[in-house]
Amino acid sequence: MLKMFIESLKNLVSEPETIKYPFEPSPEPKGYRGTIHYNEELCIFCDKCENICPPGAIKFVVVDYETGKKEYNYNPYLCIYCGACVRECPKADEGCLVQVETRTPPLGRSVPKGKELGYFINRIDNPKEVESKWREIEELNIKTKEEYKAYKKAKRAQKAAAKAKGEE
Amino acid sequence: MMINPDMQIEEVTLDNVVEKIKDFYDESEWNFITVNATDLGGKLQIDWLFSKYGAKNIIKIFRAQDVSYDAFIPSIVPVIPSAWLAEWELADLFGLEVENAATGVFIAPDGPKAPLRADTKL
Amino acid sequence: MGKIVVPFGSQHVALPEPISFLFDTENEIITKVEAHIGYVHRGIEKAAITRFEYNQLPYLTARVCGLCSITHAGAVVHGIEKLMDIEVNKRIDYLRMLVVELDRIHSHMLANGHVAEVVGYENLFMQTFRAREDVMDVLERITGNRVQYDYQTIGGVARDIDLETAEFAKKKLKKLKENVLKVMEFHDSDYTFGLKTKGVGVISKEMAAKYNTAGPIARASGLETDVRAEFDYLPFEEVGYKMQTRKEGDVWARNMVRFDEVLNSIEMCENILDNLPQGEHQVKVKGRPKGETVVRVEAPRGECFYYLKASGKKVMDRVRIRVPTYANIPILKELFLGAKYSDAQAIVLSFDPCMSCTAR
Repeated sequence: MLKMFIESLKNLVSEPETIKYPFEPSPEPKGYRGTIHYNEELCIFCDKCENICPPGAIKFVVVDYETGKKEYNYNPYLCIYCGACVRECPKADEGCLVQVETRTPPLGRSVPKGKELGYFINRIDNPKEVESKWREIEELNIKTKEEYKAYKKAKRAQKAAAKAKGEE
Repeated sequence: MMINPDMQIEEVTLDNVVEKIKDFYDESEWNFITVNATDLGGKLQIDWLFSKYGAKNIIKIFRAQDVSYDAFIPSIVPVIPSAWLAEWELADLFGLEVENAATGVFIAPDGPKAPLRADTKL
Repeated sequence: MGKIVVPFGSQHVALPEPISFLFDTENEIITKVEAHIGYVHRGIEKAAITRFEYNQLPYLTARVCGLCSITHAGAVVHGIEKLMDIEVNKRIDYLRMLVVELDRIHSHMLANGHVAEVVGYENLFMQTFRAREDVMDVLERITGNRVQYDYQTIGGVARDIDLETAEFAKKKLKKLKENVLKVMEFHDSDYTFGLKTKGVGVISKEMAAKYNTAGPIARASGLETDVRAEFDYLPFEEVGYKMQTRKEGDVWARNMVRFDEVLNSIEMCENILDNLPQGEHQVKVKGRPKGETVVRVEAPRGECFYYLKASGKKVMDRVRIRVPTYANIPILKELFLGAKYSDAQAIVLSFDPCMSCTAR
């Protein structure tokens, strides 16, 4: 007991082990797994990140069936920051998907903005809408993919028909 | 390093499993792991699993095949007093009728019934 | 005096997680126990065979429990690698072993701290947790997160360890060892701590074998069982693993076994960092899992068991998780009978119960 008493007295003069977080900043340690950043110019739209993502925080939505253009939607408030998408990305070395070492700010009165966060979060201004809008994205993801598939199939059939006609 | 368990599977039926385990089990030699059920589309496969103290990679499995949902599962608690928890889990998560089992231990009373059956959609 | 029913949990100051016991007591002695454990059932086994594909399973099972997320992810990774016939290299084995042992250190320190807290020794609890912070820093630096490590992936580990991180870990481990020895001395010889823990909740070796106890609880009673020695999943013997046992079988012995293991784990981690083999941190992965297998790994709390079955599809057929606390609940229930109600808290916490693992 005496030993513990001495040890406790030492604590009065030793350096604190904790930081006064809300008053002082709490910096991320080196190598921290933070936000996922995306570069659309490098993306080849292989959908590998969407397929691996355990919580489904990355969703592609086809916006133009004619050209097959897809939009990358990322929900940083659903993301579990495991980094599986970055490991899966074939263009990760070039910087298509990168996990940076800074945290996503907590969802308070404003929504974080930035081109590297994808389309979803940049189109929202009210933080309360994140959840409902994400549900819409999830539905759109399934719907547009099916429609795009049907469109491509129809186009192939059209082509084949045209070809058959041409041969006649 | 790839794992390489030595699974010694012995086929049993629900009628003789308690006897077989009674003959086999020695508490200073074998560690009872758990009772596990696997739904193979309408039919269950029930495994009683044991591992050996002080030996490498040995897993002894007593396996009952083709168990239907309404089968009566005998209890091995008289042989292995710690088995009740695993048996009660079968009653809760697979909706099986297990000897002396209480229900409602693993899921809330208003929760889904028999969630781990293949035909239970959640 | 007649019978009084005392509820213990599901919310209780001594309990870190929701479990509920209903004690029938006569005077102070507990005569009957009823346990309810399903408060945090999240249906992870169902989710694993319906919503998630095999390559997402390590991330799913890591979230079974916060403290042993490395154990669960590791177990499922070992199992799937067996079903996909993937042999990983030595460096991956060593890196996995490193995080597994670091995980064990921080979990054991937490358990020992909690025991000190519930016997009323707040100061010792603080000291133990202060020492624990170093190992959390090491894990955070290696894996990139403080709680959810997501380190093991199918066919390797998420990231390699560089020289700077290895040096950082070595420095921290050295400091940790000093602190652990100091805190262990308090747990070992402190008079008031001994009064509340020595001779309380004694499990004999026979009883431990009869109720199939797992982990440090079994080893504190002298039952020599440790999955690291009974199942080949990582080369623990190469880096200096030794089984730690004690004979007393009481709350105090369980704490001391955990400290012995912490010291052994620190030694193993230092050996790993000194002798890291060369190689890639990922191997090529092809195909899909097929067949069935069992996996046993030693979680900080004892044996963690997985049964995996797959048939070449993206979604597995069965993922069965049996965790150490699950194995220890039957003996916990027996142990309460005849014990004093005032000792119940120390007994529960000395088991280091993890209810989110148990209920899944």
